Amino acid sequence: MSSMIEEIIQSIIARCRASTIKETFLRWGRFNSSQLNNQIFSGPKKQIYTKILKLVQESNLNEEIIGDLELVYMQLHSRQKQWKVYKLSGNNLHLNSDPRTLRAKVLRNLQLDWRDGQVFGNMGLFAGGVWLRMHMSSTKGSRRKSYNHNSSVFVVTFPGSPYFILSKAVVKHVQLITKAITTATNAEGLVDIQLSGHHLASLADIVLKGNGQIQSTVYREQEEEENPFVDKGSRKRKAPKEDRGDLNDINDEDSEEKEFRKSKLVKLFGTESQPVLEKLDYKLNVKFHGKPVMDTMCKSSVEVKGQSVLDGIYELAKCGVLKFPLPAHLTTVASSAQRNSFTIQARNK
Amino acid sequence: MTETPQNSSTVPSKVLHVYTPFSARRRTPGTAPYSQRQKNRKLTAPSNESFESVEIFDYSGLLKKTWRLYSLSPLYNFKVNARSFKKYARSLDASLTEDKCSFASSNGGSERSSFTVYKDDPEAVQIQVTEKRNGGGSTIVLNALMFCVDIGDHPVPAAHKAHFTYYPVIMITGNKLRSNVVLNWLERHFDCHTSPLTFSNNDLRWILACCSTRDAGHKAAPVLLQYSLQNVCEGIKTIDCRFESTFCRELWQRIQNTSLSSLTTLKEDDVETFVGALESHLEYTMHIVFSKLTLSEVGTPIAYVSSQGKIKLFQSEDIYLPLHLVSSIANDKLTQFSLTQTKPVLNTTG
Repeated sequence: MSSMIEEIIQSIIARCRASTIKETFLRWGRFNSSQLNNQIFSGPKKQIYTKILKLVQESNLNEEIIGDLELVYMQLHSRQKQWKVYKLSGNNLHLNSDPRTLRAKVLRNLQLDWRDGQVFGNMGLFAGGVWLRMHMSSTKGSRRKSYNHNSSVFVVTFPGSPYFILSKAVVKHVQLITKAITTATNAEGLVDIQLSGHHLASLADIVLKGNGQIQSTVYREQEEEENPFVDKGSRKRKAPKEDRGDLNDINDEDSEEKEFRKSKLVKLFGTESQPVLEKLDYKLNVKFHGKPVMDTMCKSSVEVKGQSVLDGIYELAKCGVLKFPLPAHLTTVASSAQRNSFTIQARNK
Repeated sequence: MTETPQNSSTVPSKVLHVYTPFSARRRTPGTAPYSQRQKNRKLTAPSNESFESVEIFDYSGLLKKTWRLYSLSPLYNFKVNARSFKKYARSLDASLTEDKCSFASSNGGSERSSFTVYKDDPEAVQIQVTEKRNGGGSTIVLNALMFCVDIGDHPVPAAHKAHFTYYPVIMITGNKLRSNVVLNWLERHFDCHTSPLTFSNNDLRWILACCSTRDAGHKAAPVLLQYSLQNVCEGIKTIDCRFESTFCRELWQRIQNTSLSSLTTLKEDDVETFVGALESHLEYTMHIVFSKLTLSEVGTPIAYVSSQGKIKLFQSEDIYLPLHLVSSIANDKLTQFSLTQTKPVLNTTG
C-alpha cells in the first residue's frame, strides 16, 4: 500500500471537523453505509484513521480512487480555499465536451508539461458543475516529499460556459493548469477576470446569471401583481404598512428620502439577497478632489472587507451613508462588471 | 439661568450663584464640557533640539513590534536608582513565580526581571522579563517600557510632587498573563492604577495628522485610514483607505504654506483641514460619507496605531513624535478624569 494513500487519508481526517468526517466518507461512495457504521467514527481521530485504513486495505483501492476522496472533501468544504474566476478567450471553443474527455485531455496536457513526477486527475459532478482535481506530485530528488494537499489544484466549470473557477495555488501550478485547459478547449488563453472569493456558489452565480438576475426578480414580482391567475391575498389595494411596534409614535423626518432610497435600491439590486463576496478592492489614480484644490494626481487604494460586502453596501445605501447617485463601480459588481478588484485610472487631459 | 440678586442694595443676603456651561465668565471643574479638546499639540521636542546633531539614539529594540498601551496613574515612591531596581526586580520575580502555576510553562526556566533605565532617554524605565531555557541561553519573554515624553504639567498637586513619579503610559509586549502580573505588581507596590489605553476617533485623527508630516523615504508604509463599520452594518467589517506618504506631505505643504521641517505645533484647524481633505477625496470617488464613520486604525510612515491601544513603530529617528502624542493623550485623559472629581465651587456673597 503506497504511503501516498495513507498520507491522503490522514490529511483528510485531520482537516475535517469531527461532525463532517462521516458525511465525507459516505459521499465518497466507495463504502456503503453498513461498512461505515457509527462505530468507526467514534473515538479520537487516530482511531478513526486506523479503522478506515483497514477498510481501504481490504478493498484494495488505488491512488486514483483515493484522489476522489480528496475531491469530495473539497466539494463539501469549498469555503476553506480561495477561488479565482477565469474566462476562456478566443473563438471556436470546444465547450460541450463530455466531462470525462475533458479530464483526460487536461490530464494528458498537464503530464506532458510536468516533468517532476506523476500527475493525478480526478473528476466529479457536484451541484451542477464539473469538478476536476489535478495533483502534481513530485518524485524527483532523493528524498520524496510527503503529501501536501496544497499542491492539488481544483477546477470547477459548468457545461457550455467559458468560465473556469480555479482554487488559489502556487503560481507555477496555476500556469501549467491554465495552459492545459487552453489546449484542451481549443482556446487562445485563460484570462483572470479579477473576481475572487471564498464562496464558490456566489462566484458561480455572478458569472453565470450576470445581467439577467435583477431584471428577472423585478419581472417575477410584477407578474405576481398583474397576473390574474396568481393568488393574491386581497383584491383591495393597500399601501404597504410598516408596523414598527413601539416605534409607531415616532415621526420620520425624511420618510420621503427613505422611500426614494428604497425604490432606487430595489431597481439596482433586486430584492433577493446578494451574492457573497468577502472583499472589494479599488486602486484609484485620479485627480485629487479634496478641499485645498491640488492639481496633482492622487494614488489611493480602498479595500472593503467583511463577511458579505454586497449586503453591506445595500445597507449602507439604505441608511444614507452611501450617497446617491451610487457610483457604477459599486453597483455593477455583481451584474455587469462581474469583478471585485477594480483599477480606476483617470485620463490625463 | 443665572440668578441675579434682587434687591441687592437694600437687603444684604446670601445668594447662591449657579454657573452653567454657557456662562461666559467662570468655568468650574464640575461644569466643564465633557470633552476638553486639545487646541494645540507639539510636533518637536524643545529638549531634543540640542541633541539633533549629536547622535541618534538607537531604539531598534522598540521597532517593528506590536505594543499594547496602558495608561498609568502617578507612582508613589518609585525610585530610579540601581539599588531600588534590584529590590523591585526580586519582588517582581516573586510575583511571577507565584503566579506561574496559573499558566503552564513547559520550559521550566526561571524568569528573571530586570529594571533598567532605557538607554539615554530622560526618565524612561524598561522592565524586561527573561526566561532561561533548559538548554542554555535566555529569551526575553516580556518587555515593558514606562515613558513620559515631554509632558509639561504633572497631574499631582505641587505639595506632594516629590513623592510621585509620573509616567503617563506603559507599553508592553509579551504574554497577556505575564503582563497582567506585571501590572498588578505595579498597582500593589506603588499605589497606582493601570487601565488599557484606548483612542477615540478624535485622538486617531490627531495622530494621523501629526505623524503624516514626517518624511520616511520612498519605501515607506502608506498612510492608512481604516474605518470600522461593525456598528453600522452587518456585511462590512472594515474599509481600508491607503494614500501614498509623499502625497500626504504635499498636501500638508499646501495647507501650511511653509516648509514642514520648521513646523513646531499643529492646531486643531489644521488637523480638520488635512483629514477633511482626504475624506472629501474619498467621498468623491467612492460616494461613501466617511465623515460619518469612526476610525479604528490609523497608519503613517512612522507608526501604526489602533483604536484598541496598540502601536507599532517603524523609524528610529522619528520615535519621539508618536510616543509624545500617546503620552499627551493619556495625560489628557487622566487630568480630565481628576478634574471632574473635584467639587464644584459655590460662590456666596454676604
